[in-house]
Amino acid sequence: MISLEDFLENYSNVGMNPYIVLNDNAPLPMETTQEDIQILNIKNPLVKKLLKGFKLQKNIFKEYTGYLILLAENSQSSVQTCFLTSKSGFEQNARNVIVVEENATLDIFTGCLSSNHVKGNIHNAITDIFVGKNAKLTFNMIHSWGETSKVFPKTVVHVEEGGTFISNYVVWEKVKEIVSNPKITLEKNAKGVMQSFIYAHNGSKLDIGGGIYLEGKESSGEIISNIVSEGGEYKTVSEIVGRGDESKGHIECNAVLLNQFGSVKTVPTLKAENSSVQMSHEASIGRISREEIEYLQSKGLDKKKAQDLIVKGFVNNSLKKMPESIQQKIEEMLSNGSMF
Amino acid sequence: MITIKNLTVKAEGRKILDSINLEIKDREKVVLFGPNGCGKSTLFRVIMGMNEYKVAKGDVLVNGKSILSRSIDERVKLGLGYVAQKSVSIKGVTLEGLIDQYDLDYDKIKNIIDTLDIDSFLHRDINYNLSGGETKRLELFTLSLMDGIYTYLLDELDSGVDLENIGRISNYLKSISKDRSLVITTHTGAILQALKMDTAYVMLEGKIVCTRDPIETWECIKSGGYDNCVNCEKRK
Repeated sequence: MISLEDFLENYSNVGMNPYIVLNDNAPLPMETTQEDIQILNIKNPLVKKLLKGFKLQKNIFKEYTGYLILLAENSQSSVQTCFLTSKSGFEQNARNVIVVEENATLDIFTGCLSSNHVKGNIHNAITDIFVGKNAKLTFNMIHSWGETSKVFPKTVVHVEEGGTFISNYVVWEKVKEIVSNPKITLEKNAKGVMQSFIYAHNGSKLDIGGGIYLEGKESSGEIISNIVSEGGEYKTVSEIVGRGDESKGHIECNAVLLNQFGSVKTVPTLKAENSSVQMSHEASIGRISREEIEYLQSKGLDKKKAQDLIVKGFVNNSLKKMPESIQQKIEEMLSNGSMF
Repeated sequence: MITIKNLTVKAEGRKILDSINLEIKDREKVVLFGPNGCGKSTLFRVIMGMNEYKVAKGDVLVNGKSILSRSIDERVKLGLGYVAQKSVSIKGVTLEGLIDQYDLDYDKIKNIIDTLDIDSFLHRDINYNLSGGETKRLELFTLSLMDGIYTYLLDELDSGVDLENIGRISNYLKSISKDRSLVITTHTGAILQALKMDTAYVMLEGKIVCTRDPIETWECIKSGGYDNCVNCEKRK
């Protein structure tokens, strides 16, 4: 696990502004109200007014923190957010809403972490995301919760006509448990992509799936999961339902198991409710191929080096479509030897 | 020097190599002929220690010492370099990423990068979407990254390779083979026109059945296929 100081130093230098840190259940320390972007404490009375007419998930939290990020139409912005827990056994509840209005483009870079000494904390989240007509939201998340943390986010995304929602989700550090199952609804010509790279450490229990509902004509959705299991227990239950004419869906799961302790389970569901939809699924789960190891051994690398290089290749390949900032971060972690 | 003594390898109860005896001297250029499935590739893979084969009998020695208990990479360190008939591709691992695994002076390999013209696929995943000729050039290049490879075992280096690439590959092999042994297999014979070989062996059904002059052997196979070898009077 990394410290807050390291996190701020390493993650906050991606040139993004504004920058949000939400600690435990304390409110947002500073609100932003600009012509193009508003970032408000979720409890700010103005939030209710701004979200009038939006269909939101029920807030079940009594004590909670959270934000509303609202990007005005035709604007472009990047926001960096960080959820932090600093007390052992603490249950953080986050209630977040993101609205990207018509023709606007927003990149969110989120890191979540707990302080070094924190044990047994829980992070719950209820997040509603609205992507307007022809708008685009790229939501990047790198988890850095502690090895005793449990994380239960509930995310619902709605993408209007021609809009795009991309989720890049990376779990790299140790975590006790994650259950995440975001639901994305796509209108006409809208696009939804959920791609994840998960390193399942020994002792981790990860249930990371999702659903994409292709409601609109020619909408398209992809759920791509890449997993390295080093003893962790991983499950992905993903579902794509095609309802709109000529909508397209694809589910993919690639996993390597580095030892005999871990498990990887993929449960993909493709449901076509319209005869013009096109859907596909592919999965490849197993140990590192012997053929590849032997090939690299025949290049003079010993077995361990060969395996490491293949896993590194798998990681590189998994991150290929993710933003460069994520790729660089993982590349640094790999070259610092923080893995394997 | 590689010595193969009475080598027998079985798969599913059947002998796929049957009492092979062979000696590859230092700097010797050897060509191995035989129809598909006769055991040429198996012989190479057993010499390299690929796991899918279990040696039932016999031995493989490098400079008089048995290598059968050694791992693939240890055999490479003893001077054995191998280019398989079928290349292996590894997603996410670029040729450059592989080069980084060796402690190398880039200037030292720059020359070989130019000669084999592999500059354009340094950043690409190993053996992904490469033509036959490009793959073989890449494979030969990787052998140059390792010190002390004195024996090149090249399985069907000229299969699926166009004439231009055969020329380039042969020229490269000529330039490096002065101090090295070469053991090649070929179905097309294309490479024999450019590279002078010393000895030819013919393999049929896991056995070496003939040792002759390379060109003479190739002419004989060309004229009547391996039936000529099956029915050959000179056959031992």
